[in-house]
Amino acid sequence: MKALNHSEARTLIERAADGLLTSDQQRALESHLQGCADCRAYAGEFAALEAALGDTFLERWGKPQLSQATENKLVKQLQETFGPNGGSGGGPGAKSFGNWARWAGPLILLVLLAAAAMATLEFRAAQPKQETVELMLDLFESETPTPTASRTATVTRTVTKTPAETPSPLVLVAIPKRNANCREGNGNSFDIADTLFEGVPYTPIARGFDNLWVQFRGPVTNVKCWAFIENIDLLIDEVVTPIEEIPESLLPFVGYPPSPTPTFTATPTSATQPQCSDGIDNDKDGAIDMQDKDCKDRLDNNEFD
Amino acid sequence: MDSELLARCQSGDPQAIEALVHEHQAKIYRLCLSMLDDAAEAEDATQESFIAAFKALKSYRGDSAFQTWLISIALNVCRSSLRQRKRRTRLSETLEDPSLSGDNIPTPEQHTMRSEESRALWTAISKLDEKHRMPIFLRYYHELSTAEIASVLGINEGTVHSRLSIARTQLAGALKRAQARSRKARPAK
Repeated sequence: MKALNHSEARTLIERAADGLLTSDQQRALESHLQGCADCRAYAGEFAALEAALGDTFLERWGKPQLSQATENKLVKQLQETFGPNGGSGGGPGAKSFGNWARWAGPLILLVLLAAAAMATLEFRAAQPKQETVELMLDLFESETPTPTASRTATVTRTVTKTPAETPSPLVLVAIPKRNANCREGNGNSFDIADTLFEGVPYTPIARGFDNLWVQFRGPVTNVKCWAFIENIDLLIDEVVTPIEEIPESLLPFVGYPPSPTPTFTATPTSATQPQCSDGIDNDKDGAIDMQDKDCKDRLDNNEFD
Repeated sequence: MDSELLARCQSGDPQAIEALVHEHQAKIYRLCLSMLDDAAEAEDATQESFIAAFKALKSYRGDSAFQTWLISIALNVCRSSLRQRKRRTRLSETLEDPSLSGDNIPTPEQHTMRSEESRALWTAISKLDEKHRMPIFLRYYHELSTAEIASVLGINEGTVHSRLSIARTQLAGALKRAQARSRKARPAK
């Protein structure tokens, strides 16, 4: 077993605290600490920092929980919404109980309109069922609320086509290859807006001009956000399809948002080279530049994720 | 988490819903409080998180622990609240990000820092960017393991460790400086 130097020992002290030591490393560290007073002092300082951090948070926040009344209110709301007699989550969110009441009226109206549209569809054209569903989705997923007359007009215009003229609509879904951050824009400098979970199908909204980022509606936050193409598979009718081959009619191009204004001073590294080609282990995980799996390409300026 | 309890929640069993909320509300509320540093906003975010989780419950596949999954949902809800707060702040032309500044309206949960060291550490924590602050919160307040933090944040364990390490280096510096100031200020015996 190779003896550790002080720097290696201190690195292992931190890794031990994070539960990342192998048994060999554990033995090497113990052996080094037995003979090194400086590193034992460092380990003591490190333990004191960890204890102080825990104490600081406890002093600041304690161990609070929801009041019983608030918990009861939350349980009641969940039971009413998701219980046997509930609507099982059709609502748009839950900022407060007042919000549900505010949404209830328009939602009922929308459902009634949609039902009327469906009836019209069946009566006039006997359209295939799948297309009817697509139309309904268009109604519900419309980004900007439109006047009722306009919605009805859309449906009427569509149903005037005969079934023979309308090919079966292609279905495009995106399935994350791993849990993927969905950011406010096309880069790691943008805030994370939501998370796309591995294996769960999502409907992409659009893509950037360079085919590198795909836009979604955040499943939890319901805000528009962008996921990197390498983190997702795009499937047309269940077949994985390269983004370049996806027609614009299924996935339109849209502009990226402007770069965010930095809110903190970045750690100074190389002034000119992106982190993934500057020859520096910026995130200190032992891998440099493209050896670091957090680097997407040599132009990526973030070795951290 | 009992998978039977989750299955009962998915089918809308009122008792199961109550049990699940009771089991996880404190953890989620503390997470929201630690991100938003405002008791009222944290309550709202906790409610929002549970509702978002129940809406998405059918997509939960049990790949990660339920608590980890719920925490990642709550994180996104809180991030969304912070963004709204930032927009409000911009509107009021206040340039300083108020999150974690400690200057918000005092609430019963906000305790006065007892010592110079704690105050210094708190200030240093509040100056970390979110990428480094979040693992520190999750580790030292919420007591999650490195693997759990990795799962919640969607990054690998090595990245969690490197972020913790960078943050701890900064915090250790702040703590040392505070200790030096305390020693200097202490009257000689």
